[in-house]
Formats: sequence, structure tokens, C-alpha cells
Amino acid sequence: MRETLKQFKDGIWNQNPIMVLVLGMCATLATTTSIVNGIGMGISTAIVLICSNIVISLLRKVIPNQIRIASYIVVIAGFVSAVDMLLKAYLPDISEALGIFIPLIVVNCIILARAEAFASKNGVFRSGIDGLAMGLGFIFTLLLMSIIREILGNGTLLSGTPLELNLTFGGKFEPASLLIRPVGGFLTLGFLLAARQKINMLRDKKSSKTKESEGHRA
Amino acid sequence: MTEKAKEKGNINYIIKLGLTLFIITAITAVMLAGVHELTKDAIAGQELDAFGQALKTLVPDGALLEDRTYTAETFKAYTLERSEGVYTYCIEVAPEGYGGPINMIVGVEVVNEDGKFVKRVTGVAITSLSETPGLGTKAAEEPFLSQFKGIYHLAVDANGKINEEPSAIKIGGGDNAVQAITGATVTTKGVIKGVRTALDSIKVSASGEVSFE
Repeated sequence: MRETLKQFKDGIWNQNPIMVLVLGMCATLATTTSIVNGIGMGISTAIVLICSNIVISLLRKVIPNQIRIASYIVVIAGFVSAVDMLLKAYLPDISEALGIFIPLIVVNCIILARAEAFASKNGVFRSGIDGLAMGLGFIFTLLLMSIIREILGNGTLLSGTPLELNLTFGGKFEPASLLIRPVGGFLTLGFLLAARQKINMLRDKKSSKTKESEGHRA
Repeated sequence: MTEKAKEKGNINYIIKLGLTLFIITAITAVMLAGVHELTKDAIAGQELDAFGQALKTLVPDGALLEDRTYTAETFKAYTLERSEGVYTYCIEVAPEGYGGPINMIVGVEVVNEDGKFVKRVTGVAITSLSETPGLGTKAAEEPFLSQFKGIYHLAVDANGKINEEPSAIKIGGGDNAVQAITGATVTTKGVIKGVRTALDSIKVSASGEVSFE
């Protein structure tokens, strides 16, 4: 249970795939222009990640070392193609919006990295949890980025859904469409990374201060 | 181990590698074939839906005449019958935009005005596009598209002479012109080109007969 909790903490914060491991940049920058796209991409990637982690973990004793990367890619590509077909059939709007970035999940470094670093060396349950934890971390960061970029860059919230809100206050707020472009993606990501570091630094300072005062009392 | 035995060992190992990869790939292929079978009807249905929706928006009271469809290199023309002898032609075109082809359908009708035959645009629907969000994507919105309603081109003049000139749509103000999208001129020009291709695809004879040859 403790182990599982640590895995989730790592996936979402300490080893967040985007903000710490800095993987899956292409997908992150391109699909966070709207919240719906960000969440769609996040969930699709997470599903592939969990499935591929489980299968690769199941096959870890069977796959010879020399052909391991080729085998991982076949498994990952298989799941991505399946997800692509399922989206086209049952969620065509999301499929249309994410476009070419669904097939690009195959080369999303996060999935190959977790296959190589974790699933090939751990049991099926742990690998599945790793997929889930990293997937949640991915979705979490995509959500943060797309909220910032959509509100400030497009002046809308949840555009593309029936719940769409227009936040331009009748033209008073002119959105900075710079944030919708790739440059805006980089900027937002940079600030998020810095913010995360700052939060960690503040937490460390707080905990070392409490340790100090405890030390004095003792 | 002897040289020959070592060699044999190596080849066996390489064969084993190849075989393992083959099996993994074969199983994945079978799984994918299964998903494909499962989803192919739904996918075909979705594509038909999107197209049907666009046609319904352009010609709400039209019935598609299946046997009067014409396919050419740069367009595909569908004939919809609104009432006895009254037709609207929906031309599917895909002009180049900024980020890729703009898939659109242009509704055109051929009307008799004081002895002249005029082609008039009844509406434009965009089925898919890959333009810059917030800029080029405005091309798929009503304020821009509704400008094209009423755009016309003379097909046959009052004396029965067929107009050989291709259609023209200006950017700016005035008759037969549209306003461009600020910051998305390429996208604007792409849509204009699509409408022009649609207009030019319709051939009208001196007696008002429509064909696409």
C-alpha cells in the first residue's frame, strides 16, 4: 500500500513525466491549446501507457534483450492503432481535434521510457500502477497547461463543449493569442516548471524550519 | 566449442530472435484486425454522418439524388432535389489552406433572372480544416461563411450566349466580394478558391441545362 502511494506521488509530482522527466514535449505543446484537447490527449496516452506497461511486464522474461526496443514499439504501436480506431468510431470529434497527435503517441517518449525503465523490470501489478500514476501526472500537467493557455490565449473555457464559457467580457478582455502558438506553449511550460520548483523549495524550507525548532526543543 | 558449433549456435540464436519478434508482431496484427472489424462500421457511419449533416445544413429541404453524382479531379458534385425540377447542387471541394486542405461543400443553384441564367451560392459548409486556432479556424464560423451567400456568376446572358469567363470573388467591399479574416489571408483565399472551383464546375447550356462535363 505504501509502495503504491509512493508510486502515485512520484507519478503526479516528484517524477512528473512532463515537469520533471521532461518527456512527451511534442504532444504537450501541441495539444494544450484547449482544455478538451488536452484532456483527450492525456486520457488517450494514459490508456496506451497502462496497457503497454502491463503487456510488456507480462512478456519481460520472454523478450530477448537484443530485440527489446523493437518489441516494445510493436506492442505500443498496436495499442495506439487500436485507440485510434476506437476514437474514430465512437468519439469522432476528439479524433478530429487531436488529429495526427494520436498516431504520434507511438513515439511519445513517456511510454517507451516507462517500458524500458520500469515495465521491463517489474511485476504486472506494479507496472500497471506505474502506467496509471504516470498517466495521471501527464493528464494533470496537460490540464494545468491547457487551462492557462485556453483562458489567457483564447478567452474561453471548455470551448468545444456545450459548457463553453466566453470570458472576453464583451470584448473588454483581449486574449493574448500568442499563448495559443508554439511559443506560448514553451512559455507556459517554462513557468509551470519554475512554479513547481518554487513550491518544492518553499516546502523544503518549511520542513527544515520545523526540524530546526524541534531540534532546539530537544 | 568448435568453430562450426559456435557458428551453428549463433545462427540458432538469431533465428530465435527473429521468431520471437515475428510471434509478437503476428499476435499484435491479429488483435488489430479484430479491433478493425469491430469498429469499421461505426467509422463508416461517422464519416457518412458528418457529410450528411453538412448537406442538411446547406439544403434543409433537399433530397439527395444518388444517381446524379459527378466525380472529377478537383471536385465532387451532388444533386439535391428540393421540389419538382428545383435543384441545389452541393459541390465538395478541397482547396489548399494554410495548414493543409480545407474540406468544404458549396451549395449552388442555377436561377433564371430576366432571361439570364445565373449561378448563385446558397451557402458554404466546412467539414474539416487544419488552420491556426483562433485565426484560420474562424473560416469555419458563420460570420465569415455567411458572406458567401448570394455570391453569383453569370452563366448564360439574356441573348443565350454562354459566359466563358471563370468566376471571380474580390476581397474587400462592394458587390460579389467578401471581407478577409484579419491575420488569416491565406485561409481566406483558400476558401474563396474553393467557392470559385465550385461555381466553375457547373456548366450551363444556352437553354439552362446543367451538366458537369
